[in-house]
Amino acid sequence: MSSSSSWRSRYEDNEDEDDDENILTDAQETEWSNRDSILFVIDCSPSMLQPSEDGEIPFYTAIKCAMTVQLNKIISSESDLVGIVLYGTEKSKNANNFENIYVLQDLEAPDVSKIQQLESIDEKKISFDEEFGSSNGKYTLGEIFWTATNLFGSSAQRVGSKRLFLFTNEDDPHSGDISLRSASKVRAKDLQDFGIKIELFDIDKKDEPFNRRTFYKDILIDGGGDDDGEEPEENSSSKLSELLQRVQRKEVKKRALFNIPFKLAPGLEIGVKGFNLVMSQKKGAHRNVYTLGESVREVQTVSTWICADTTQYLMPADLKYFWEFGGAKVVFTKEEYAAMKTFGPPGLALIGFKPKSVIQMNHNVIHAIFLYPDEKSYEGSTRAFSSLLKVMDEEEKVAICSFTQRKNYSTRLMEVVNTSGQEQPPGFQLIPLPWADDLRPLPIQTEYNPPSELIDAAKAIITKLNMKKGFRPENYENPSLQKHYKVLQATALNQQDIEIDDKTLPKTEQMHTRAGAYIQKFKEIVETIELPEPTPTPSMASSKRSTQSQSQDSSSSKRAKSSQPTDSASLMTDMRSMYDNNQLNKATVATLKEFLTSVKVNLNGTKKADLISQVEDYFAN
Amino acid sequence: MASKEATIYILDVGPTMKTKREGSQVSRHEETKKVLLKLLANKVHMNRKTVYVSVVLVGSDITNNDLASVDENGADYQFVDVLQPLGVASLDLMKGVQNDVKLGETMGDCMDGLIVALDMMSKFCKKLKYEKRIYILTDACAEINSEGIEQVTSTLSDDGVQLNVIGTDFDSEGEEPKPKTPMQAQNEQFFKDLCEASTGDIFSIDEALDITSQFYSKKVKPTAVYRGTLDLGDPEGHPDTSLSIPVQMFASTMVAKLPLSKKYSILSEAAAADNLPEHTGLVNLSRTYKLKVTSDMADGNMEEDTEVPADALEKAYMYGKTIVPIRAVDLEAYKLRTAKSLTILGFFASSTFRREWLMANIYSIFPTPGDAKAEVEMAGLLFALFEKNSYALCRYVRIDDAEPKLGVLWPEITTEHKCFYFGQVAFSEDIRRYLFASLDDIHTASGKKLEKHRLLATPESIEACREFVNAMDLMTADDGEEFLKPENTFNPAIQRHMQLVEFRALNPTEEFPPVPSSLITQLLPKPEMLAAAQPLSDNLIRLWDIKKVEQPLKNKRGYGASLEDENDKEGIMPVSGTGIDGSSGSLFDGLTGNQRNAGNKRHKSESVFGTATTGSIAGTAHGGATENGSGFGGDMAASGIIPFEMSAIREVGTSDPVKDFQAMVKIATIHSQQGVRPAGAGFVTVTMAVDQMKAMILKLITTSFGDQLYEKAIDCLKSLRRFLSSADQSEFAMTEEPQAEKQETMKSRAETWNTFIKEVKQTSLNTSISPLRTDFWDLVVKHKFELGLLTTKEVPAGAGGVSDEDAEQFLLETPEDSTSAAVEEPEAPEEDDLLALMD
Repeated sequence: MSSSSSWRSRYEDNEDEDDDENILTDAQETEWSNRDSILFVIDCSPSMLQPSEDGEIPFYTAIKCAMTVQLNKIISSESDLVGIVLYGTEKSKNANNFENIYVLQDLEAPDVSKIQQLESIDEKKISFDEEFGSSNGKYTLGEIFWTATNLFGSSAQRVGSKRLFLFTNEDDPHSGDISLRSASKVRAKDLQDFGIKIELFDIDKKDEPFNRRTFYKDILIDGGGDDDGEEPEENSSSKLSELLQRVQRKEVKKRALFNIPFKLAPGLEIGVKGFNLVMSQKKGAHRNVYTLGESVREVQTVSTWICADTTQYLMPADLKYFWEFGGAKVVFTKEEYAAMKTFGPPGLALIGFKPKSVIQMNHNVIHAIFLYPDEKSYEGSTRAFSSLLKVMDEEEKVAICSFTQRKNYSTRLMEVVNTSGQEQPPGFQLIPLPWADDLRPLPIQTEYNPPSELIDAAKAIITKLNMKKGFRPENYENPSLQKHYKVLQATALNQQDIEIDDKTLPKTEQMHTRAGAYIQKFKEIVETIELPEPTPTPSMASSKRSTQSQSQDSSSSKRAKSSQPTDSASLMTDMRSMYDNNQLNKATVATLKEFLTSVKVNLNGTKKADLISQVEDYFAN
Repeated sequence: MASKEATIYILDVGPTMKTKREGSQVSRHEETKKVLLKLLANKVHMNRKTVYVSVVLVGSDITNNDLASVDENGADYQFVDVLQPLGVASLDLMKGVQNDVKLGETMGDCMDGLIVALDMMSKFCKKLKYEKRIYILTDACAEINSEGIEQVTSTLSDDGVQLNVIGTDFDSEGEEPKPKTPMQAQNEQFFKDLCEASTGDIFSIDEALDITSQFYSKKVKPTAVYRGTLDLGDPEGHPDTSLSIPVQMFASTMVAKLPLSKKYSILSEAAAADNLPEHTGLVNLSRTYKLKVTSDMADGNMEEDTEVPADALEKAYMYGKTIVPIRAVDLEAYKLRTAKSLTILGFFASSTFRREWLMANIYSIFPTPGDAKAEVEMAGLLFALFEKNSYALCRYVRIDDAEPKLGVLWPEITTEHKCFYFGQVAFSEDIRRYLFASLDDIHTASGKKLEKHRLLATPESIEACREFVNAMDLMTADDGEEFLKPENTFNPAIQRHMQLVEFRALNPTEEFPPVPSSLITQLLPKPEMLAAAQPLSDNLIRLWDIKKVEQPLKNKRGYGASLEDENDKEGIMPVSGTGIDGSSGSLFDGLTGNQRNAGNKRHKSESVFGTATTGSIAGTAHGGATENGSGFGGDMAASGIIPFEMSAIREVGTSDPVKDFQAMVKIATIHSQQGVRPAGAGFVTVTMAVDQMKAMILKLITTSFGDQLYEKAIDCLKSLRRFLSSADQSEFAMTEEPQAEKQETMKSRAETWNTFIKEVKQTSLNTSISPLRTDFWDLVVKHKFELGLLTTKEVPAGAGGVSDEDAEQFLLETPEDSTSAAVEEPEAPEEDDLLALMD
């Protein structure tokens, strides 16, 4: 089964339900597909191939940008489209046979070969002069735009956003040729009519800053700067560095998890949609491949169910389900099984309200779901929803609801909490509540209260190590995931570098500098105060072992134990005395096993209670 | 919890047990059996090898116990029948109790039973540690021989056996005493004294039923998931300036799941009927691996199913569209190396933390028991965090090389418990950055914030909502107590599962009992609270005025299917009722034939045809001409087949108006070509489609939340205009109407568009309505080539249209200018204009 450990698979225990994520597709979302497409259009005039003031060659900077975008896209949204067109080239390659236009890569999803091609260009393994050559500034901008329009048009996939990234340092193309200039503008207008947005990455020539107003103001939608001559806020260099940034985060398309009625009272229902705004991002399921053949071949796993008694193959209709009960198999049909879990049709039903103060953060079992009104299923949902949102916020209340996400899903109690605020989307968070079955009592009790000088010393440490802006998830990338992406990229592209920067590691040197003295002080105080009575151990946990846990590796304690010389005579004496004192539960499982083996009793189970009972039986007889 | 248990149940089966209690439907025997079965079931559910039970019958016709003897002094311990000696609780025992326990002829003495039980207990348990309990279920009618009572009492307390007695006629606490015989009253007192001496108690049968039907939740022994240190700083590099506190971590919440089911083969069941010797019903999973046949090797002579051995497989991951195999050794070698640890990264104000960043279940962290220094150090941190209203961020690695997790620690300080809670929080990759429109901030295109809008809550409704929220308070809803504290709610699925497994095990062929109401009440609002709040909720119904939007029938599976079934049951009139003449009959014959063959899924089209209201068919304003239908999908129309999925559509709905409109036009075209008369239900005309589309567009514009629906409206407009421009003339090729008539149709369509777009303009620019929709008109102007007035060069020759100049002017005119233009009829095109703009 896939590794999509969604909300559902954490709760649902029926392994037979359909594998797909079961996410309703929001009609509106799919209608305006949010697949992105980017076409890099790169000027290859001689000046683009000369190092600029900072030593970078503009053409290669553009190629690097395209490569980074592809590397990022392949992880974040592999179905987005990226294409590359070079112009001002000596060689030509395009559908219309225009001169000086070289379509390097069609608008397609990025893949390994495309990235490798760019890598080769960047590393000069592909000679620019041989492959493309520069036409010394000869090209027709109108034809370039035409080509771009065709590329966007011929791409079969529906795309949401279409962008053309134009890299050039020529601020006055076709200067003096009015007909070519106006043709360019007409073609640029065509692009815009197709919904293609042109973004200009203008590069300054030596001693000659790029002037957007000479020509490009007529081409760009925003006019390339206001009339009063102010430069647009986002200048090219910041846009460039943004493009060159490696951000490997899987982008998940906005999809509603469910679309259900929210029943507030008899006859009063509104429509709500749920979204997962926080969900553990996994590495993605692996596939099985066969590598021993001529080429690497993907393998399909075929699972079949076989009747153990008749050895016949079983179809889904031939299956029922059973549980063991008191030594017998109790059999249920699939429908009966499904029906025992669910207690109502899909929906959210209000039970009542509680003050926010009674909710406990430790009553958490899984991530929350974001709730937003759905005007499309119930007109008026939005106004009702926002009344509730406002009132619950002002009255500091939370709602308690019962919740069935989909047909045949289990029913749970949920807390509906208003968490909207600055930078947060407006809506409720739906937080699953634990049942009594899910709550475990705190195992260890203590009445110890530390002296105030100790508390003050600890407070000083906290002040020194305070994170001013609080915890922000976006500052912490998942190191295992980043490592996985990096290894994948390195393997696919034959690269060597697989190191990552683990942002979750503590900055111990900084901590030492900032708070070292305070921690030392705290430890000194600990030494001076009277230690409390040791706390009783939880249930059967052995206290002997835990005192060793200061040592970094748990394996050392294990080794120590097994290498301990235990001749059977002393073992017998120990066991006997423990038995007599009713302290067998203090022996470790390993010791119990050792003892039982030494007295030739066949082990009857692995649980400690079973072993103890066997030892007791041994002595009782 | 983990200790061993031995429980002996003594069931009185004397002859008096067959009588009924006052007001009871069943005999005392049935009642006590029910309680006993429930007690046994709970033991069976525990599914533990160290839980032993025994059932002893008293008053049975059979005498079967170790102590029984008949000698010159008389008979001792007669009518005591040990049904099962102490052993594992099994279904067979439960079945035995349910089916095979017969009432005896003679009154038995419960004292005999108790002494037998105590004897069994001491022989079985010896001096081992057991939780020992004896239950007696009786009507307390029989005389009790109290000889040797002192010895029994001392054995009970010396051996630590708890005795509980459940009497059918005992008094319930806090209730009226029940009618009983003097013997019963005397015995009740006798048992009460005996039980209290053994730390047990007596229960009335009602109390026992009540207790046994209560929710049962499995106790779990606390096991540390992490034993290690909680670090602050670098204990290795800077041992003096760092903390390393020995701690243990336990689960604080953990979702309890239904026990896993196993698959059961029906074939085996069937074979068992044919006397197959071994009948287990078990199912084995066989997994084979076959090479996938990909398109690029389709031409090669690859055999279909090449099986490969499981140990020859490597793992691979997708890198974009490329499959990247990574050898298992590499996968291991390249893994992120981590060391087992729980280390603090920093502290932060609790107010900056968002609850929804918690990802999973919660753990509790304690200083390692017995380590006083650890307790002091941790207490210092705990109290300091508490006083500073701060949390700690930490990195947690459960075991070496496990994936690091990010967690937040917050202090829990009560008189008994002092610990950290640990909650796993989101990484950057776990946060999804979706955008949502503001709910209370609606602006016009010009940036003006709106105070009143259909999506905005009115102050009146907010106040009404406030009253409702306050009336539905749960803090005192449960007889003065807080209703639905998590500690008091039980997972209904688990309880129901236990109930049904028990029930099915004992009654394999019977219908399931209903869901216990105690499970349902924790999922519903309190009826009395709802009733009290009804005036308030009624007020909200009035103020909010919620309307359910009827979704167009489009689901073929799932919910839709059941809907179809319903229609089917209602006996919807078959299509013959629509009055189709002979020529078109074939079309519907084909359709209905299909439906019947294809079964349920196909019934929709029938029902839709059957239920369409004739009233919805508008008069044909444009005469027969418009009924010629459209060229949308002319080839489809030519074939005369109405695609099934389309046949249901008789209304332009909100979800996909363009598709609905096109489908209606297509159906209408087919209808008109085949001469379907506009009398039958489900009949669709082009005029209907156009009118509905027009209405839909205006609705989209005027009801859009901000500009949310504008794009959709623009799409609708484009689709409508394309149709009305008669750009696709293939439909006309189908009909044999004279040229003049066709031209007339086209002309009237062009007029329809030009009139309508003026209406759109007027609506959008009307400054007297709120919110302003001028921004929509700006959008129309942007799409002027696709949405302007139809010009002469856009429509087929002779089909009307305005000049390009007029079209241009129309779009640019301000509302004041256009008021007169809006009512003007479009002018006939002029040849000059046409030529001038043909470049």
